[in-house]
Amino acid sequence: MVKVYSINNCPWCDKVKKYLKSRQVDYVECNIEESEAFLAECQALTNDEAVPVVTVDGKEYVLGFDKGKLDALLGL
Amino acid sequence: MQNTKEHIAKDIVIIGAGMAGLTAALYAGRMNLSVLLLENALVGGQIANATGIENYPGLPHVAGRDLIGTLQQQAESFGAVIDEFDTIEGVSLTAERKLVETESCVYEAGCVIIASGMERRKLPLPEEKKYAGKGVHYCELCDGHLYQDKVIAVMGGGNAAVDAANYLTKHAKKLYLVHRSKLRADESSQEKLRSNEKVKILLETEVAALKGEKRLEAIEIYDKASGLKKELAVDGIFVNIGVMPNTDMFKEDIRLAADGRIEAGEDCRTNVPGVFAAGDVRSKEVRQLTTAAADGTTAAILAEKYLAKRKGQ
Amino acid sequence: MSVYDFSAKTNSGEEKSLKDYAGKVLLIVNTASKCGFTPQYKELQELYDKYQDKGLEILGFPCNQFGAQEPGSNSEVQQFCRRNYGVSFQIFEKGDVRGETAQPLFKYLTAEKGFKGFDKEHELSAILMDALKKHYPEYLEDEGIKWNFTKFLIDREGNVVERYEPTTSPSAMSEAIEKLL
Repeated sequence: MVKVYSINNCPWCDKVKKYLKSRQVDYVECNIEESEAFLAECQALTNDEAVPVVTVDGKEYVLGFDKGKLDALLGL
Repeated sequence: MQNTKEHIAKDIVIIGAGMAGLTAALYAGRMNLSVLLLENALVGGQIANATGIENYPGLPHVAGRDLIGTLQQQAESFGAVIDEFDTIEGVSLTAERKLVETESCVYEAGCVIIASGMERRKLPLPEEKKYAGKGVHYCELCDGHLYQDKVIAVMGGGNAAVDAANYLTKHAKKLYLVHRSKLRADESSQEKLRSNEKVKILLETEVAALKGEKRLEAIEIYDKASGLKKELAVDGIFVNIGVMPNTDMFKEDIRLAADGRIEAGEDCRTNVPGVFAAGDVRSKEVRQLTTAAADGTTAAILAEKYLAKRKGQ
Repeated sequence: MSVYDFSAKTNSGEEKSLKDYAGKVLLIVNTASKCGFTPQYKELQELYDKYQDKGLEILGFPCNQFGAQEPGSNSEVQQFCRRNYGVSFQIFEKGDVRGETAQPLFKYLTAEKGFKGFDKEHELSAILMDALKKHYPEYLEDEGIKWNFTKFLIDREGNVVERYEPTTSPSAMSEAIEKLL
């Protein structure tokens, strides 16, 4: 399952989500401002609170909109 | 340019989806031209994230996101296609058919409108990308806290750089300010920085290279007076070396003004027929949202005229 | 009654009584959530850096009830955003600050210190006033919070000393804070 950690009013989060949609990638949005559980997950994964973070397996992740890295992570 | 990529014909390709580019797309779309708008970063450009725009006529207070969202829909409703995921790799603009090569294809356009705006100047070193976010930073308030009790270097000599350095002294164990010439910042903020014993200011010094295995560990600096290079161990650097117009890609084909912007008058015409410059990227005195919209309008209308004339010949 | 009678959840979910801040000078602010920074965030952090050692605490209460304010600048240069902008003062859980659904603390603060108008000298005043009249006319009819970055200054005994509207920038509050410290 693809997870996107995000915050509100975050244009780079929007761009990543739009990109995933354009490539027909299903994802679950995990807003770390709205949910403590998601925040804890994101902190555990990245040791930080920067978003967007995209992960598939909860180990490897991509921070920010980096198309090359996203494509590699998602096998696009 | 590679021949293996698919070639796609367009009447107008617009480079950059800020206020100028989106307005041009809106106008060109309304004139029934086939329009493609390419954006490498954020649709909306500098105002993508501006939360309170208060000087746009008729809208006393509007969030950048809302203004851009509406404008994007408006442009798309007239047939403009906006692609914010493909990346432009190169252009060839001087011939009659203008070529814009992206990661996925080559666009052949009758007209090109350059509306690529400005951006914060990045550290001009090839390895900058490798360390971006891993030791190379641009926003002291976003990322400064990552360097509590660490060694930080700040690049730049203007107010923004010296203010950033002053701010970062709260976190840093040791802070270097590295600048290639003299400081231009206000005397009072310079003085504040100089009086801090954690700080060492290195002037007439260039950064020659970034080093480190997985993240930044050191920078190689070059003293211009002595010609000597030496390595400085740092945990992170914060770059504040001003803004620049996004014209690097066009400098072979289009005449630039001394400030690096594209030389074009109020008619937005560049020295190359069929290529127009609109918004902040054009060399002009006033750069506002409204003037960007005005440029987008002018460029689209004159582009249509140019295309119509070509067709008639 | 004083602010010490209230409690709120921090952004890490921990219930915190404002009693824990007894003896400190407090600045309670409703903040706006967005990517990048507003100048007010930066200035609040500067106040905090300057006066934390002398006994100032800043308590930020994020709220999405208002259209956000002020332009951002850093969003383009790095392709990501950061939660809470890296400020080091205490940020609480997001909640409402005006109307029926307002957190009790803000009902108390606005009852103690009503709205006395915007600082007319400030460039934002007229614009903010126009925006409120047009989009939220009902906001102008009560003493409630008008916009992001309304600031309440609390003395060491927990009394609400002053209310500053969004049109007062944090850097202009140094003198008032120093007096209480």
